[in-house]
Parts: sequence; structure tokens; C-alpha cells
Amino acid sequence: MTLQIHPVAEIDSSDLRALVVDNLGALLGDGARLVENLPQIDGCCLAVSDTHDGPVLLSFDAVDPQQALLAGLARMDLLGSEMAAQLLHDYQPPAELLVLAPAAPPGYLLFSGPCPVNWRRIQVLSVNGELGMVIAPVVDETAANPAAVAPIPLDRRPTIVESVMNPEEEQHFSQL
Amino acid sequence: MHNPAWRPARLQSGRLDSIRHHFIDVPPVISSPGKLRVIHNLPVHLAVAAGHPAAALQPHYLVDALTRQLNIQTSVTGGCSGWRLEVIPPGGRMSDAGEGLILVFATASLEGVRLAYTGIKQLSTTPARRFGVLFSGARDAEIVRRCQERLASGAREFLGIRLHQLGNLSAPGPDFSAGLARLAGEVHRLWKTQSANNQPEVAHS
Repeated sequence: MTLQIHPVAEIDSSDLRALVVDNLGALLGDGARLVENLPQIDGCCLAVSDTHDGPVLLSFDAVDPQQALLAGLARMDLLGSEMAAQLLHDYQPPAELLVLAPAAPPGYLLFSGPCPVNWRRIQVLSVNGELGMVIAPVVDETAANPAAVAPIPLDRRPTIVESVMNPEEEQHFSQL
Repeated sequence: MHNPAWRPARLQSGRLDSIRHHFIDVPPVISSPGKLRVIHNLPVHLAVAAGHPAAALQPHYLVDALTRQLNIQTSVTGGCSGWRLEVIPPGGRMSDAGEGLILVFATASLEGVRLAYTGIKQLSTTPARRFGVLFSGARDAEIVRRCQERLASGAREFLGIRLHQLGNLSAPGPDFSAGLARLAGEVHRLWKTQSANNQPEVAHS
């Protein structure tokens, strides 16, 4: 049997959302699930619990990493408001924003501390006409770059935060 | 009638204007008989590898020669502005006097490409930057092409920046003057485009 695999340039947001829901285990580990007491946020964001019941907000875009980051930040702002806590019983705002996009969203490293922003590389493929999603494995950046463990002083961020290549960049620039 | 709420803002902006010379390098305006002469600062990021060939174009020679050539070509065309090239110190800090165009001078090798990329990555955190990349020290044209492609594809993929290729400039020799004149013309054209389009965007063709 021949597999016809090709990248999907455009995907409906509901299809992408369904793919993300189907792959929650692959993204966050076994036991990850949708948060039940949160209303649907919108087409590109999902509130989920990870394997340790930690609330995580997923923001995804199959094409535009920056759009995924910005949409996620806006929803984090909403979900962190006092109004959300008043409206929802036993409410716990997301402790992490996880951006799913085909490339690193510019500027995501600037967000760290108590509510970090992380990202995972995804690519939507069509396999014999069926949609599928490739999720890049997690790379332990702190192992490759011990300096990444320490928070970077705010006044130095514009000059040094981007000075180290991430694993994808290292791979790209490993040869001519 | 002015909104009274604007008054504090106007006072604040006047105060900032009065002290800004302490913090901002303003391009000097030099008086000359009859007309003003404005100096354009062109920041230069040096991505010179440890193995930069001694026979290749050396960075400080390039800075001096290109400064001279830009000023000559500007005066020949009747312009009333001058040029000053400013090497960006390690760490990427630079004055705010640049006008959005940054020249990257890189050794045509893998190490040079990596240095160029990390420099561009640092400097691209400021909006409205356009990067022109010049290589030197290649054995042949194929090396230059591979360096250009590797750097351009990485900048495009990871930073969303489209670089402007300024080619390769060899060490001073028979072809150096023509190459320098071509480079100066290209830098001037890029600078004019950048000034005209001075908008917060870094991806250009």
C-alpha cells in the first residue's frame, strides 16, 4: 500500500481543534484531559489539565506562530481575571500557556516565571486523505543550555535572551 | 480648546526633550556654508570567525573603505549628507542613531554564518531593522552561495526575516574598487528604501 503524505497548507480551525483534542495524550502525557468546568474559550484555545492535574491553556495555529502566541496571551489574561474566578466554581487559572505552532513563536522566551509560555512544534499532514498531526518530540533545552535555567534579568533581555541557538537552530546551522 | 489632560503630557515631553541628549546619540548636524550636512550612521555587525583568512578582506579595512566610498558617491551625486559606519560592540548594544539598516560582514564559513545568525537574532529584537549581508574569505563562488542560502533560510525560518544579500567582496586587488563601488551603491539604495518605508517590519524582499 502506498501512503500519500503531504503537508496541509490550510486547515479549518475546528479540524485543527479536533486534532489537538485527539492528541492531548501525546502532547501532555497520559491522563491529560479537557477541563470540564471551563466554557469553550474559542476556536484556537483549549483549557486542559496535564497528567498532574495542572491547568494548562493550549493555543494553536497551524500556520502562524505569532498569532498562536498572541491569542494565547489574550486568553490567559482573560482567564486570570477575578471575574473568571467569580463566575466559575473551584476555579484555578491556567499555570502555563502551551503554544502549538509550526515554528517557535517570536518572543515567547520573554515570558517566564510563575506563568511560563512554552511551545511545541506541530505540523498538519494529509495521509491518504485523512488529516493527521505530527508533534515534534520535547527537547530538554535546559540540558543543552544550562544557562537557560536561571531567569534572565529584565534589563539584559533585549541583548542576550536570543543569543543562544535553540536545538532547531543548532541543527540548521550544523553544516553549510 | 485643548483637553486639560494633555497638559501634563506636554510638560513631560518637554522635559524629556530637554534631557534626551544624555541618553540618545543624535546624528550630528554639521554646518557648512549654505547647507546642513547630516551624518547617517550605518551600524555594522562583524561576524568574523577565528579562522578568517588573512588574505581576505579585513573588517576594519572594509569599514574605512566603505565609509570613504559612501561619502564619495554621496558627494558626487550632489547629496548634502555624510556617512559614518559604526561597528556594533559584542553583546549587540548599539546606539539608537541607526536608521534601520544594519550591515553584516561575515566570514564565508560555517562559523561565520553562525556568528552572523546569532548577531542578527540579537539585533532583530528591535523593530524596523533590515539586514544586508556581505561575505568575504570564500575559496570559490559555491562556498559563498552555500553560506548565503544557509543564513537566509535560517533567518527566514526562525526569525521571519528576509535578508538582503550583498554578495562577496574579496581582498583589495584588481576587482576591489569595482566591488566596493557596487557595494556602496547597494547600501545606499537599501538605506533609501528603508528610510522611505520606515515602518516596524523586518521582513523585506
